[in-house]
Amino acid sequence: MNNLRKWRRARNAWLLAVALTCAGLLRYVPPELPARGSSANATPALLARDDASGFARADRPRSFVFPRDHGAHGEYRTEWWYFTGHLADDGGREFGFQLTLFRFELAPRSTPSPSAWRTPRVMLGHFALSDLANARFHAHERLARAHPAIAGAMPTPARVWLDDWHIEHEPDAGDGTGRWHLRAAQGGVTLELVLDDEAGVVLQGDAGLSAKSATAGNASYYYSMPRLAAAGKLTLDGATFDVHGSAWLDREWSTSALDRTQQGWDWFALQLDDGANLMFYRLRDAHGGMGAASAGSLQSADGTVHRLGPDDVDIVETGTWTSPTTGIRYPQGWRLVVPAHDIELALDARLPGQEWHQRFRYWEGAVSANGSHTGRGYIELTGY
Amino acid sequence: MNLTARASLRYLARHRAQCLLAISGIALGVAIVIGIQATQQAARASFAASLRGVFGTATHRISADAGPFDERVLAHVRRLAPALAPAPLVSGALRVERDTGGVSLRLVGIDPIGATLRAAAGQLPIERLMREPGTALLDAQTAARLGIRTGARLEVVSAAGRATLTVLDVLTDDALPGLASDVLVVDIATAQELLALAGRLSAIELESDDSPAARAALAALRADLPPGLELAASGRAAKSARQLTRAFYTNLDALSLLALLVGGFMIYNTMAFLVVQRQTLFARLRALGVSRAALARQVAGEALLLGAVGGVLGSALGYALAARLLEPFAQTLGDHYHGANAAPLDFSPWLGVAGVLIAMLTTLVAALPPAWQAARVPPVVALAAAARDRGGSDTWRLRAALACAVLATALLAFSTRSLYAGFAALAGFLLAAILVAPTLVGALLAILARRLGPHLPLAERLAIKSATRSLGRIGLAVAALMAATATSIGVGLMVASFRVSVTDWLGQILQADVYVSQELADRAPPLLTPALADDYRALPEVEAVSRVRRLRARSGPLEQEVTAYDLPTAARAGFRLLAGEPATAWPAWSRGEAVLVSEPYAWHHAVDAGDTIRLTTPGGTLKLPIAGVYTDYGSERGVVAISWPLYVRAWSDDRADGVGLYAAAGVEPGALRTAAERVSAVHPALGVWSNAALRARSLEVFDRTFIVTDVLTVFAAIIAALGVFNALLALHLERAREYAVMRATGCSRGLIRRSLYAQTAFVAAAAIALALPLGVGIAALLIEVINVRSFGWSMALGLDARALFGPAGLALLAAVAATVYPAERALAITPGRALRYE
Repeated sequence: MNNLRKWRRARNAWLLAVALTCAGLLRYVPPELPARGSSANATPALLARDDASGFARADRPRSFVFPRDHGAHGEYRTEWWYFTGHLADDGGREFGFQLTLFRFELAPRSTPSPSAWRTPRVMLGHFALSDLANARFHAHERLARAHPAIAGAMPTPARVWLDDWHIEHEPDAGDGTGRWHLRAAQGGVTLELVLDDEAGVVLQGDAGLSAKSATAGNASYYYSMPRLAAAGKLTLDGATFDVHGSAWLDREWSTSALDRTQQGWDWFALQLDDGANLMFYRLRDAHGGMGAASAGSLQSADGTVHRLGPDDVDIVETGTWTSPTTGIRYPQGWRLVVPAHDIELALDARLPGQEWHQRFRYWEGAVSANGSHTGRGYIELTGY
Repeated sequence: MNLTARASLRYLARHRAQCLLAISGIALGVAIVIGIQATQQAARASFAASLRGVFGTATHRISADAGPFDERVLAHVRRLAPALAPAPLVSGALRVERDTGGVSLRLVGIDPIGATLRAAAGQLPIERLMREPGTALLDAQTAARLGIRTGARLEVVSAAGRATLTVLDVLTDDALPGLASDVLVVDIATAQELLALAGRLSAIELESDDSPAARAALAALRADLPPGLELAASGRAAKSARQLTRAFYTNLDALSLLALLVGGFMIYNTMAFLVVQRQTLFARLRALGVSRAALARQVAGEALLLGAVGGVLGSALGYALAARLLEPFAQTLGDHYHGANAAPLDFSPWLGVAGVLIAMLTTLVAALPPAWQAARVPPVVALAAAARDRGGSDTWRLRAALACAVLATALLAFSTRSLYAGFAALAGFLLAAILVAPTLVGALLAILARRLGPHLPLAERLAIKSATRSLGRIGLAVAALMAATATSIGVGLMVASFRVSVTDWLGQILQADVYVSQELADRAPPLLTPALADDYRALPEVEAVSRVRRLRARSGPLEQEVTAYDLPTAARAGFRLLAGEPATAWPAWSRGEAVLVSEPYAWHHAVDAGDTIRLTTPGGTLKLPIAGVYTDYGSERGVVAISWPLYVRAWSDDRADGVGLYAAAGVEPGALRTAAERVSAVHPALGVWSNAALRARSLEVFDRTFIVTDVLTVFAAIIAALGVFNALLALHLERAREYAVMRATGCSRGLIRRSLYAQTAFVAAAAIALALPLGVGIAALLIEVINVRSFGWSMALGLDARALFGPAGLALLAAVAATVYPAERALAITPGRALRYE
């Protein structure tokens, strides 16, 4: 029995490490942080290796071409397709959802082989549904080595999948924004959505090159589709709802985007009711303050995009919540001010328990915005 | 502090040696129970570890009779049962080319990512395994045996031809507990490349925590599995392998039961004596007005205290002894049980608690009746009686013995199949024997004294007298020695008889001169196609060829081992029919109109020749009569033997996984073997065995299986000897004054010494004289009852001299050796001092 537990522990620790590396997952969280609570040997070769040779680097601006760039960029170590959104059925019952698939390469390329397993690619998935009316949070995680029948990420047209979780892009003849199809099911929750573009593509950072620290090359290519009209079906515990709402897509790929001095990361993605879309990530420094590489963007209703730096935004925590499962204390209320744009928002979690506590721990959930504007969005909190 | 407590403390303080001996006696009793239990646990853990599959925690496995299957099944299984953590496995045989010749290893390909990784700890170079083609991990045992180190490059021959593998790391038991030996672990892609199995899996392992959700997922999987695949519990799959393991378990159970009895008696004996000795003191205390209840409370408290102290010491001693004794055997144990590493002796704290509780309970049971008895009789009577009698009466023991024997006989008479009843009867007979032993030893000594006494020299005459007188003191220690010896003899005789039967059977069943067989691990597809069989047949050295294919079919709800034979008529002699008429059985069998079943099958299913059997095969359900029952020790669950035409018909297959080659007239087996090896070189998974080598290997497996019983026998002997030592030390210390008087009256020290050793020798000889028939009786019970009821194996009881007299000699030697210190110590005290001391 003892051995069994030991194995499970070891396995979990190791998976944690894979997941974290996959992750920029927790966007730019330094690996040391979430590894706390796991044993010291949990930071194995995968993380220790800073060897990025053979991989392409996100070290200069590039020109984005769509729909091509919706698909996988296998020459970079990590990449993700990160969907969050708010849904409601015809009766007004509200839901939040998250579907994220990550791609991670253990090596720059694979040798030719008759075996389909001869690949250095690993896929990780997170699927969550926040049932706001019943205050329930369903969260599922999957991990698999890439295999044509099991999991993978294709370039054009974009297709990313992990078992029966699918993200597919259907190109159109126009500007390449096209339409996204999402499908995921586990544990009594089935979600099928079609997402249509409403606000176009926002290139984050310097025309899509998003620096994550002062170190050159610690950057990613990062674009968002901040407003996607969502419509589809949700099945929850046997009941099926026709749902519609609004989603946000974040796309990033990079080879090395970590800076080990950062504490953690708060990510805000807000859709304001006047049509503006605000994204801001605060990289917390060693003292929990606003790190110098924190950045974001404000897309006005007319489509103009304004870059935001650490000095443009002020964030004050107004409330906290302590997880009964992990004992971690997360902020759960914020005052977010963008003085130059007359934005002053009170942000509140729609549901406190939107915490991931499987192989690793973070908080990602639906929030509401009030104040100078009203709106809604998603916030991700890591490193607490 | 009250009077009784002070009296008790005074007594124990004045008789410090007595007290220490009592504690050590209790400790020894506990040690034998705990030690054997710990040994048993270790052996079981070692076996259980091997059942967990390559990486341990898999509870179920999906595989196909036809061999490797399409890997897309994995996608289906992952979707249907994500909670069961499906893990793909690709495995097969591979030969490592060494300067000293080839070594066959099992290649196991795993997917280290995701749920697949059932055991790997953080320090494993998993990432390199995945990233770098041609890399492998090797278990430490095999690495040490073959002298392979980390970084070594291995030239290997596999289904895909020649390749080079780099050993990334040698896996210690810490890194991958329970990893089988003789295994090269590689990435699944590497395995598919080396075994030419691209796109195919050998198995999918599943991990069920037995929750309702997991059970539902398993049921859903079963209902929706693609045709040709089956899902079985890993344990069951392993059980259907040809193993003697359950035999080993059952015999371990029998041994620990006997150990419990012997140990319990040692504790009882020690404690009872400590109380009986003080009957005078108790009588005095009663005379002084101490109430009966107060006296009983005091004795109970003392018993519990001594029990607790002895229990703790005994648990530690038992564990230490087990660890020590097991050490040299760990390797052998590990080699045998699916090649699993022997699990480290994991001391469960509950075992220790159990040891202490057993000790406290037994001391209480031992101490209270004599104390109560002493307290019950009027003080005056007790004072007088205590002065007369120190040994207590035989009557209650004889009555109890009779009751035990009657009960045991009744159990055997009224149950025919229950294994538990068999065990209970075994315990009953042994208990009866232990209870009768002191009386019988006394009787034997009396006969000796009457018949031989007058003719013996003084020292020996003294010895017999003295031994008779001391029986009250050492009687139960002698009984324990007898029981331990008898147990060793019984188990040894059983194993020896079993071995003789297996040897006979092997001699009969192995009719061919050379065997070619395929490693059956992981159900690789059978390699011996009819064309390949013809290649062997075409050899000029070969006269005839037999073929065999091991299969599984469903018989009712259970999976059944089925073996198909293509036999030349000469090979039929290999089957010894226990039931059925050979003249009619063989023709019906050959035509595929009937089956033969092995003896265990007949026992477990309670069928006989003439009954009908149903087998669900790929070609439909067969309903066939049983033409005969044959002897077989190869499978404890039993085998159904079918003829080759029936196999071809029902399974739509004609491939074999083994062939037997009969040498043409005048051809040496060696030449035949060389010729067979030439043909077999086409596949690395084919092994060529000469008849003698196969026989030797089978017996080697047998011997290894039962080697742990040797450990336990030695253990029992050591403990019994220590028990005798303990009893003798107490006895001689008590008698120091007597020896002093003898010395003072002119007896030489040499005479007394000779008398003391002779005394031990007489007592031990008497115990051994009783142990011999008792041992034979135990063997008979093990063979006729326990083994039959467990497996349905019949074997003839043979009186193997080594098994019979080995433990007897060991016991005699141990007893005499145990005399040295007590005797010398008693003799070392000068007469004057000894006399003053009292």
